[in-house]
Amino acid sequence: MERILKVVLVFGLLTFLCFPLNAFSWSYKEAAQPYKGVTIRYITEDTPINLALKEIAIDSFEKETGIKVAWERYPFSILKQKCEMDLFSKAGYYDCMKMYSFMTAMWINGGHVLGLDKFLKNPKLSNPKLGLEDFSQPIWDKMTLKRGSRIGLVYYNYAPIYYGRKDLLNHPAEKEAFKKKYGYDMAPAKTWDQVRDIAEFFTRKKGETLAGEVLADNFYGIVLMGKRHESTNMIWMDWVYTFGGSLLDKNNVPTINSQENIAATEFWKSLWKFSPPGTAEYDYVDILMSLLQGIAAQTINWADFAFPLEIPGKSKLAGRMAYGPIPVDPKHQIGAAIVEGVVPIISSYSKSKEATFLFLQWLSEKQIELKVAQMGLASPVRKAVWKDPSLTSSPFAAIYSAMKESLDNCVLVYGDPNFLGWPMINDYLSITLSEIGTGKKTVKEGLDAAQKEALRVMIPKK
Amino acid sequence: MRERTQKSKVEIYPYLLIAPSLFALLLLGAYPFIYSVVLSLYDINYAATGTAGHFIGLKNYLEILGDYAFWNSMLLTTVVALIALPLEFLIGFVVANLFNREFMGRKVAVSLILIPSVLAPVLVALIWKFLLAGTWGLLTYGFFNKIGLFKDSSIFGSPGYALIAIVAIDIWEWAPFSALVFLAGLQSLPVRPFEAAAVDGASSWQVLRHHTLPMLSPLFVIMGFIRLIDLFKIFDVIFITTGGGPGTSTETISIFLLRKTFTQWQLGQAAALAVIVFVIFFALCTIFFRIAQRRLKVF
Repeated sequence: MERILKVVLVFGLLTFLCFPLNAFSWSYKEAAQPYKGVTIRYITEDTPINLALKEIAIDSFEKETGIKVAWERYPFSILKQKCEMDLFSKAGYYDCMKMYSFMTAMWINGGHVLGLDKFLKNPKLSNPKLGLEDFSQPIWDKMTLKRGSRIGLVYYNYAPIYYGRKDLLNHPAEKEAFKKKYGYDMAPAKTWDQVRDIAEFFTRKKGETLAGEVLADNFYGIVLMGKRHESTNMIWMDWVYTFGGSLLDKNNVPTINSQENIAATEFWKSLWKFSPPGTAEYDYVDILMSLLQGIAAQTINWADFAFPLEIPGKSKLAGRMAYGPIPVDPKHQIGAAIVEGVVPIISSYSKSKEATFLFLQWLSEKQIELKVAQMGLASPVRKAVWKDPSLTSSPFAAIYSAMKESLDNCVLVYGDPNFLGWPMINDYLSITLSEIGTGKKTVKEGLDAAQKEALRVMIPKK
Repeated sequence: MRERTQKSKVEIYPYLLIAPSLFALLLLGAYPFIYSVVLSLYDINYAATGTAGHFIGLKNYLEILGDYAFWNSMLLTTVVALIALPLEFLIGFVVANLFNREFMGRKVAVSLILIPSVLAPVLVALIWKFLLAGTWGLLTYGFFNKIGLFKDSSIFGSPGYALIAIVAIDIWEWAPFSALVFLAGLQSLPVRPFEAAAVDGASSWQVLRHHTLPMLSPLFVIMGFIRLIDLFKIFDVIFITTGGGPGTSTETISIFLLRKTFTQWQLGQAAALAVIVFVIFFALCTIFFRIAQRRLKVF
């Protein structure tokens, strides 16, 4: 009996010792040993965050693991074509790529995206200290959990925020005039009604006075995105969802011409008269250019475009901007921000799945996300990064705070794998919004036509 | 018998010589086309199903031909081609005549006017986007707005102006190339007919009408052919400046095809569209060819 007890004790001790040893001895170097010398191909968008990726993550990963990362960058439209051609042809040339939320249904239903659950459960591959619980909800699950399976790991996201000219909103004479006209104190807008009032108040002709100075050019109360472009659709959806609207009901039936959506779009269209004449051709870069040109008081744009405005010496608006989450409609009080939901995934046809999984883990490490945030390249997703003093005490703290509030209210409209046909509806919507903006169609005509198209695409006649 | 074998060997020999080239042409030209025809008969719609679909006969063709967007894009492409081509030729011919005489700096000037045509189309599009963008474009802000133009509208943001701008950019890009080709043509014309016309006291207009234009007609036909094909494929400038918008006001056939292919992933319909465009274009080229043969006595 004593002998049996001794054996059990020794065995238990060994198990106890071995378990933590395994957990704490895990390293990328060791895990990557079988894949040393392997080359994985990562295709990504040609944006500042991906330009900096070599310096932020790739060099260090290659050094640590011996796995080579062949890294390609393209403008979004080309990137999308390359990724989808590679997946749909099952070529497997690229191991890792970004899945934007509107690609979700096509990619998931086609079986093109590798589920990561078996890798996450594999102690040889899975980093026990990765800390998946640190990722902020609801964005983490909305982005990466599809039909109960984890399909990607994240290291950033894009969210839209409100931008306002703090120097104008706080100007004493302007504040006084605003209060006299509208009956309340002017401040960075929290509601759409305030956005409208500020837009109307600051839209002025050349020769009029703005903040004590005579205007040499026209000035606009807001600058909107109106180009026939996917991004215009996404920003427009901020109005739709905050007005209590949506694109699909609970049964996945399109609701594009619902009363809420019509009201939201009427409101969005009503702001066009306070936006510069180029609105119909403006995308996110044009909006930034208009702000930098100093001709607009507010906008709604992706958060990462705020950082160039805050560079002292390079931007005349540095320190003169206010930021906030997407405003709400006073009647509904629904906080909503449409996020892009960019998830790096592994192609089902990858020939180096394990090595690619290690790379995905590396990208989603806290220190990588922190660097991305510190460089002002995108919104973090980890809770620990949001709390990092380098962000909370940064000169960009106002931007981070707006990003955080936006992400807390995030809506991933088409991250649902059941939203099949979205590319066609999205394409049709971008034309419709452009036609509504330029007055070729009324809001009702445009949304009715878009609804008809959505029904045709999503619910085909049998 | 031996003579006959010898003769058949001689007949086969030239075909054997061109066989590798013919095979390569078939592989590179005919195979993709046949593959497109096959695709056009299937319901391949990744956006709706995530995967490839089944045989549906001519349904894709009927869908495309019944789609307003298809006819709109065909009309816009034709409008762009019919306005841009004659203007490019006119400007090119005038410039070629100006350069067809000796003056100081002529060679440098010829090189300089060619710059728009040698630039990458994407760069041309970006240059004009930076020049004509609403409110912040260099020309819009620095010139047009100062003289009171486009104060309440923008070029690429207004349906009417956007198409005019696309045509104007194409002319800016390709008129210099026409000028260069016409200049080469003018310089290769024989001198004697012109000397004879001068002796006979022919006016400049008579020389142009009865000598220069008829002698250059093969060049006009070839250039017309090349530019017409190019204009029907116009893409880069539209994609970057307007994306086909506002609405569908600058959506030419290439942009429509791009939408069907890489935006909507309706590959069956996209293939049907490509076949329809090919058939229309083939018919147009054949008519063009016949007219050139009969009226202008070229080819």
